[in-house]
Amino acid sequence: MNRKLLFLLLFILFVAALFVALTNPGAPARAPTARGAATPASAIMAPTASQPRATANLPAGESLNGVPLDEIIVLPPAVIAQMRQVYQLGQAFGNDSRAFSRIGDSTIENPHFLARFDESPYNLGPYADLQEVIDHFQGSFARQGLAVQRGLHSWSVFDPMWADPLYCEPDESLIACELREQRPSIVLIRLGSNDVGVPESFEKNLRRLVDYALAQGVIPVLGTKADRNEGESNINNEIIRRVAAESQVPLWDFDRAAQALPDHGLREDGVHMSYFYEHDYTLPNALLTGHGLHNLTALMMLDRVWREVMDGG
Amino acid sequence: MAARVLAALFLFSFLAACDQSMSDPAVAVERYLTAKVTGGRQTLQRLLCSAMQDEIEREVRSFSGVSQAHLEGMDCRKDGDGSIVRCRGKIVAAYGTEQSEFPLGAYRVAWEDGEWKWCGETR
Repeated sequence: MNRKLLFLLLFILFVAALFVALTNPGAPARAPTARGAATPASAIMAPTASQPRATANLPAGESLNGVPLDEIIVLPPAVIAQMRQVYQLGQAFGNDSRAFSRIGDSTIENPHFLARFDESPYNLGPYADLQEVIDHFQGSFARQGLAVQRGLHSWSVFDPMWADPLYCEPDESLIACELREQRPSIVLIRLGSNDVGVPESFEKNLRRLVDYALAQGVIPVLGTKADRNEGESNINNEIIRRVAAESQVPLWDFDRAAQALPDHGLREDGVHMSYFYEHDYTLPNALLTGHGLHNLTALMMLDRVWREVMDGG
Repeated sequence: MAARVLAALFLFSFLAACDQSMSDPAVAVERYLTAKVTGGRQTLQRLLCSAMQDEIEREVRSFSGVSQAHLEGMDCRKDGDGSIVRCRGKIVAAYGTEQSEFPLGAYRVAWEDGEWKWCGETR
């Protein structure tokens, strides 16, 4: 008898538990909430066949450490033509022709990346012509912005959790937030060091990022990285080059420049660049340090885009 | 006899626990955030709403570029009819010798397949 009572009690408990588990007093009747700020991934432009003007404020054949400049600053005529359309679109959207943004990881953090060109002192030495582009984009160099984060990888670019809640809207990705706040005409993109071992994902996210920038009328400049975290395959840099070529956007191929440096211009950790505190390009070590060459080639890239695409200078 | 009673009590406790996570959106969000920090794919996939399933890879890898990611002071409560959950606390992660913090916020939840699911950020 006791046994029967116990089983009856257990059965009742079981049914009660099931009932509670399968019903939900707070469940809303409406359909599931859709995600509010899904990021558009489609590009708004098709490549154009229009003829670009003749290019290059930098003499043909010029090189850095023996590497031809046109292998570092890759801006072929077809890309210039397409980027001119993007720039015009951005102007119609109200983007600031005197502002650029950056998106990436710790390799482009302040204070070593570009900041000195706003803050001084620096000495451009034989590259004094670049002062014009520094003047034009004054204010953007020392601004790290909202899209540079340590440990950032390509998938975090669209993860709202990585966006700064002090400046960004809920469910707003870090790139959307940065472009809304800064309204740049150019965005320097430096990713890949933290995307090791997931090349398909990296490529997919990079394409999405490029398409997003284009849709906002912002010229995306894809930069390669100096490290070889993926091993000798260098696959992430190869992906960056391929995406730049296929999307017809400017390529800042810093990896190509870094190949000529001792240890690729990297510190002992194999990721971050060797320092160039002096920012004095008359010094013999200027082009032998990671940051020295990095900053110079970044300036050259901005200069080319400004002059060739935005009719600057 | 005693063993059967213990088994029955265990079953009951288990079912009661299941009920809490399925009927309380705040518990679902806490479980989701915990899985996001650790990269728990199965839990993330189960607790991610259908509208966001395309983002599963992003969610799984969210903190894989940093180390020692963990939650501090997480306290989530449902708001109103339960379709919004507001959380306090933060995710803390290390990168080299420095720490990064990611404050928790407000999240949408959706009732799907008999349980609450995380569905992105909201106000």
